[in-house]
Amino acid sequence: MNFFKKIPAGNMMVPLLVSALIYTIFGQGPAIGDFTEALFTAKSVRTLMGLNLMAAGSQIDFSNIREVIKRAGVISLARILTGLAIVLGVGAIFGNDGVFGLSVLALACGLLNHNNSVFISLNINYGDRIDRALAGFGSLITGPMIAMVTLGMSGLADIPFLAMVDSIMPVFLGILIGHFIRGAREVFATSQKMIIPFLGFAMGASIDLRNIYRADLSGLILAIIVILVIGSVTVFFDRKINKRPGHAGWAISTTGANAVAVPAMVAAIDPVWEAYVPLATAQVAASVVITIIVTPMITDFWAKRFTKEVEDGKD
Amino acid sequence: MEKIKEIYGKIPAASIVVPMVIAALINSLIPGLLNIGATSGAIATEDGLNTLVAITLLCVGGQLTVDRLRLALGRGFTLFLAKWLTSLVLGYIFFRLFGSAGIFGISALAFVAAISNHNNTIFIAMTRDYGDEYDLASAAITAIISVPIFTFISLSMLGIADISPESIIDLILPLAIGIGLGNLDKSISDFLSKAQAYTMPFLGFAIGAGIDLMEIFEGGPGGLILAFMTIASSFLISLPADRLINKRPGWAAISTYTTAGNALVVPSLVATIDPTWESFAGLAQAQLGTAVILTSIFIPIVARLWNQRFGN
Repeated sequence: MNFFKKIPAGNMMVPLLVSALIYTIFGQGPAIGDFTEALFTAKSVRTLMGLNLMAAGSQIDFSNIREVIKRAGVISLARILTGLAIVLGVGAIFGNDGVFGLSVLALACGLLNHNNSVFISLNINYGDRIDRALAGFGSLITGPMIAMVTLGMSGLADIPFLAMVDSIMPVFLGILIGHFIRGAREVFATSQKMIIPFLGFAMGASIDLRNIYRADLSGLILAIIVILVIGSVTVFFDRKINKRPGHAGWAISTTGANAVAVPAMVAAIDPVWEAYVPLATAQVAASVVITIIVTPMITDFWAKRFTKEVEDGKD
Repeated sequence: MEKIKEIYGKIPAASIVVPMVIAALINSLIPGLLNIGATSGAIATEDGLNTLVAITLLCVGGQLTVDRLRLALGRGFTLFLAKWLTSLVLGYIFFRLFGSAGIFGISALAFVAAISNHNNTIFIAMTRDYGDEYDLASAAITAIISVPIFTFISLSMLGIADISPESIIDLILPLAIGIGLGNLDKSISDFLSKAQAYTMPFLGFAIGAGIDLMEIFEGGPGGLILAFMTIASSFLISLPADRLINKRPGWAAISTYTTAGNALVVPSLVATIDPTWESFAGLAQAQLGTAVILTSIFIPIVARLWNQRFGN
């Protein structure tokens, strides 16, 4: 297992790539019954993520909750506002057709959410105790909601509050458990590390590596915008305001796996987008796969290069 | 694992029982709170449970390495076979005499589920206190009875429930992959063993989220009897086998008779596979819940007393 350590974020990436290769070549794993389905399909991502969020919540206490909210707030806002600026800017200048073959639909769906599983796994690997808890709030800005609000699908009144409470529930439970059960915090910190390989494998079980080139170069361009443009702005603010090394800023610069379904969801509500759906879906799918592979590499490089500097500066 | 032990201290099987009780409390006081949507449901309902049981299966398989097998060949297998034989023999007698509905409100399903698996964490803790390296290696083999595979096979063999071969393969496949991974590299095996220990609290939580404490109170007397029957079962085949075949004092045999927290998933699973059990599932789960708690308290005590009295 030593070679896990040589690969960037190996504890997540090795299982993820193995499972993605299996899925790409053989398709869905054998779902004979509930347990094999849980092991071989992407169905368990939600569970593993929920557990991870609960464990993340347990790392939060009264002494650090302000710092957690500050760091998560800065990163989330920088991440989403940069995405919004690009989507709205392109829409204003180029219209719905967009630019570089990327429609406004593709941009909105590809830029306005992130893969929270990658975010949490990378923070566990490279961050401190506060970083491990960030994804607890990161879950508030994943999902199709922001893309749909931006495209005018729904007003603020339609924001599903119960769904938001739901997505933060594991964190809340975790905070309670961490507070009331002595030692749970330490146990859960290790549990988070134990979950990563399983989460990586589960994530890979829905990744078709062929998606990378299905949208030709335009998918790559979308991924580059996510990583280089949004990523560097987020890292900038993470360093300037949070006074952190910036790896958490990279870690959030992905396209969420669920984003693939969003173009069709949008078009189902507003047929104006109908014609853009096939290409946008392919582009978003490419960005999902490319960012899931490239972002951990950059985060790893960055963390190794800059973490020591900041930690040293503190002392 | 040391850390978990140190933290939960004296409560036996705490890493699974404590989260279970907490989730059960939340679920009983505010029903539905743990299942308000997709994310919270994913950790507290059947989906979460299935994932965690699958991971536990894989991790248990990962501990079954060739090295350990060689070390533990005699002792571990004797304990395992004796335990399985006990559940088949007693399960058969129980089913023959009392039928599906059983006696004292304890159904055949609850009885077999209680005696056919055990909490390996407690077994490991006992071997740390009284055993040697061979006993500790046995834990890799006795780990197989900590997951409900043999409960299913026993129920199926005894004709108590109509369980399809697929649902047994469904349980064995994750275990087999774990065996493969664990033998690939020692560090993977070590990781999986650690992963099992550290995901156990979540397993307990997911199990607890399906428990209604009112049912436990209703199942109380039945659970008490079930716990007593489970403890008594250890003296029938396992204890003589450990003393006569293994030439060991016998505390290890008794230590394999805790009812595992995993057993709590059996009733609802069996009811999904074989609907005739649907009406018994709730009560069976409640009784098993009581048995899990009581056996994890009393088995270590009984084993210790036995060791003091007959150890030499």
